[in-house]
Amino acid sequence: MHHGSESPVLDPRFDRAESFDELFAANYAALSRLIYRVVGDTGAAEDLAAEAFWKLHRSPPAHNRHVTGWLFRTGLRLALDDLKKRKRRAHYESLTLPLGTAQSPEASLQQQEQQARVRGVLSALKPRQSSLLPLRGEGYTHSEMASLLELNQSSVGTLLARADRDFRKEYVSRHGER
Amino acid sequence: MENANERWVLEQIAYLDPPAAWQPDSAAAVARFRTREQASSRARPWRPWLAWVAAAAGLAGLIALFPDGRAAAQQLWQFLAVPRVAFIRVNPWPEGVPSPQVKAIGTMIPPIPARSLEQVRWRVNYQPRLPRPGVLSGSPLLSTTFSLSAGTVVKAADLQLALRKAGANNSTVPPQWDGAQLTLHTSALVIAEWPGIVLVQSLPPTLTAPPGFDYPAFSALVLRVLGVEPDTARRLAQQAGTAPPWLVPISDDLEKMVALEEITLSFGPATLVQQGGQAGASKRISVFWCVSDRVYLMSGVMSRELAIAAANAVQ
Repeated sequence: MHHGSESPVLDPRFDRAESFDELFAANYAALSRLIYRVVGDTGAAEDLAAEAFWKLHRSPPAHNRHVTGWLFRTGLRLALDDLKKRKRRAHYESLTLPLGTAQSPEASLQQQEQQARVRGVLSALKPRQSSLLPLRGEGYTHSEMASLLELNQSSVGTLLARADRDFRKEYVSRHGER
Repeated sequence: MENANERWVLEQIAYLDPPAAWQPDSAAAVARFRTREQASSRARPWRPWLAWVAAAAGLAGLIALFPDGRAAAQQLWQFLAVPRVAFIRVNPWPEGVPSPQVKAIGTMIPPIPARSLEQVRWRVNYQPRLPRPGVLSGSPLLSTTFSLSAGTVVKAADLQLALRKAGANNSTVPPQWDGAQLTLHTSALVIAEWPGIVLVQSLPPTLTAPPGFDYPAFSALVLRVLGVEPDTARRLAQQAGTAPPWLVPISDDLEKMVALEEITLSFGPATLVQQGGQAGASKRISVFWCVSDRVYLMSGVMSRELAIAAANAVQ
C-alpha cells in the first residue's frame, strides 16, 4: 500500500460530534495529511486544515448533515486553490524534505522534482478527480470517498478509473512515459 | 488497462506521501484555533499603541493624505517617505470642507497567531527578520495579518475648496483628477511580541493611481491644504514621485508624544519617538525605520538604549 501504516478510518463520530473540539480532534490530523498530499508542505497543510475548521466554525453549512464531508471538501478546495496559486512551488518543495529519511542529495532532488510533477498534473485535473486521487492515496475506501465527496458509491470506481486515465494522459503529455 | 493505469497512478501519487515522522498536532491546533477565536470575537479595542503600530505599518498613507476632519484637529502628522523617514507638522484639514473618505478594501481581520517562523514565512511569503537571539529576552509570540489595502476617490471640487480655505488661492486642481481612485497596498504584516515589546514588519507599501495621474502634483496640493509651505510641499512631493510618501497620523491619545528624534542605526536613518515622559514614569519608545525591502516599527516600554540595540540587531 502506498499510504502510511495507519489506515485512515472515518471516525463514526464524524457527524455526531458533540462538540467542535471533538470534531477537531477526530479529523484534524487526517485532514492535514490529506492536504499535505496536495500542497507538499507540512506547515501549510496544518494551516489549511485549520482554515477549513475555521470556515466551518464561522460559516457552517446550512444543512448540518455530514459536516465532515463538508470539512474535507473545503480543505481539499483550499489545498487545490493554494496549489494553483503558488507560482514558486519548487521553492516550497525544497523546504520539505521528508523527515526522518536519509537520502542522497541526488535522490532527494529527484524526489522533489517528481513530487512537483505529480502535483502539477494533479492541479490540472478536474477538481473531483484531483480530490479523489489523494483520498485514495491516503487509503480511503470507495464508501468513504463517496461519503466525503457526496458521490454515489457505485460511481466511485468509474470516476477513479477516469481520473487514473486522465492523470496518466496529462502526465505523459507533460513529461513523457516513465 | 484500467488496472495498469491504476497501478501506475498509485505509484505516482505515492510520491506525495506525507513524511513518516510528521504527526499533525491536534492539541496545539485546537489551542491556536481558540486563540484565533478569542481574537476574533473581541471587538478588539486595541491598545492605543497597538493601534498605532497597525497604522504605522499599514494603511495610514492615504488616511493622512485625506484626514478625517474631526480626527485631524490639532494633530501632529508624520510624513514618512520610503525609504527616508521625515516628520512635518501640518494643520488640520480645513473646517467646512468635506474630508475625503478613505475606505479599507476588504475585511480587517485581527492578527492570527503562528507557531513558528517557518509558518510565518509561508503565510506572508517573505522572510521575517528578528533581533539576534539574546538581545531581547525570551522567544517572541508570532502572528500575521493579511495584506491590507485602502483607497479613496479624488473629488476635485472639494480639494479646490480646501485649497482656497487653506489660503492657497493660486493652486488649481486639474479637473481630470476628479474621480481618480488612489489605493495604498501593504503586504501582510508580521508581528513579533516579547513581554512589553512588539516588532512589526512589512514589505514596503505601494500606492496605485490611474495611468498618467500626476501624483507628485497631487501630493503637493494636498500638502498645501495641510499648511505646508509651497517650497517644502514641492520638495516633498518630488520625493513622492520616486518613492510614494508614507504619512502616518498620530492618534489623539498619542498627541502628547512630543519627543521625536532622528537617529542613525547601523543600516541607516530611523525615527525614535518617546511617549510619556512624566517624571518617574516609564516611557514608551518607538523606532520606525525602513530598508530597501522592509518597513519596521519596534515599540515598547524599554530604554532608549535597548530600543536602538534591538533595532540594530534585526537581521
